Amino acid sequence: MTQATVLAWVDAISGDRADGTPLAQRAATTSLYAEVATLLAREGWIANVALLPTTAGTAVYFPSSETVEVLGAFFDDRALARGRVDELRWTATQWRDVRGEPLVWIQDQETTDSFRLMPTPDVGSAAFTYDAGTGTHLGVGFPPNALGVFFAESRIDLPAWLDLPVALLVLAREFSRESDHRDPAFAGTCEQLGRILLAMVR
Amino acid sequence: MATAAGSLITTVLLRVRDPDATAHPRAFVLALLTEAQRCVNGAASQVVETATLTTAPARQCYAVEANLSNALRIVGIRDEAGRDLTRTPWSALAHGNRRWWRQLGSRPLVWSLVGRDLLVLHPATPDAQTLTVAYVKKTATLSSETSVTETTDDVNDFVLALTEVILLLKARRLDGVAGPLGRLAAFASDRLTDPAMQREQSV
Repeated sequence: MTQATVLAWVDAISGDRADGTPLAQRAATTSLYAEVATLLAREGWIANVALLPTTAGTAVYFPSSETVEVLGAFFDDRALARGRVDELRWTATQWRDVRGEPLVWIQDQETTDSFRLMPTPDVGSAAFTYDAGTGTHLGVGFPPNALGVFFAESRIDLPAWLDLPVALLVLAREFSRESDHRDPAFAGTCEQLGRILLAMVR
Repeated sequence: MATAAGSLITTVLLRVRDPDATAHPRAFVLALLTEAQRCVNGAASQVVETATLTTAPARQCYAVEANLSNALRIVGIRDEAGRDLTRTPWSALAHGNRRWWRQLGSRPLVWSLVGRDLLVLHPATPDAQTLTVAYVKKTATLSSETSVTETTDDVNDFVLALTEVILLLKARRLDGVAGPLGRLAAFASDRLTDPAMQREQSV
């Protein structure tokens, strides 16, 4: 499914009640689509995996611009435990300076959408000699000391079976916001139906 | 038994009092029926098919849509010998072995989903394997009025109800929405309280 398919449904179901420019061509509608995609990622519908190169002495990493939440992390072949800053403070007051093989990851509180490894890696990964993404590097070409990440992803192209539910949730937001075509009853019904459809395909 | 799309279009247009398709072109209703059938099959799990998935050596993660384009929801996986793989939450894999992420074995034993579109097959194998994946199908597009539904007649009422609600929404006739919307809500609720489905959801 593409975003364009969903926005075409939004236009068709709205019945051109939004004056002037069709909804599908409005930046506001596109941003509402992104909002719904993020919501679905938070609710556990869409996730992805990334493999990141590590650098000795670098503790903070960032999976991708579509990351909504980090779900799990792996250093080399080891699954890292999720930790909290207040727990790490008890292990060492200067825990950010500890070097070694990472054992724990935490959601970083000082940078956006990033996560921090503890201890900070004292060795970097081998060179990535292939394209990033879910290619060969997750198989036999896995580079030692690379960082694997599962993350909830706000994806532009959602699976096709989410077309109609997503279109309805976009309509609910479009017709509940302040505008010349605001229609709370219509928006409420779209939200209700969109949620029913999500329950059906769950 | 399946039903021709044209017959469903006529029925739903009668329900929304537009028998001549003046407000709602029949081609638009046909496109809606495609979407409605997909959602209803998602709940009813009526149309299930299998496809083969060839794994890559030493690899455990696979994008579902890229590898199984017709899959709406995976329901089971078998290996080459016909043995079922066990479904497990991915977060539980580390309980057995913190190094599961790169672990190799002679055959995959368990499968997990991260979200709905990332499949984990564990452990990885040194060589490619051919697995059989069973899934609830994303039903095909109804391309013309002579196309027939893949779901059976007993769920036609829900396909029609969903299409009817959308047409009423489009026409802003919200007073007529309550009936079909209530039937759909009950249908979705039945599915969510089905014990077999709850077990599936829990992992």
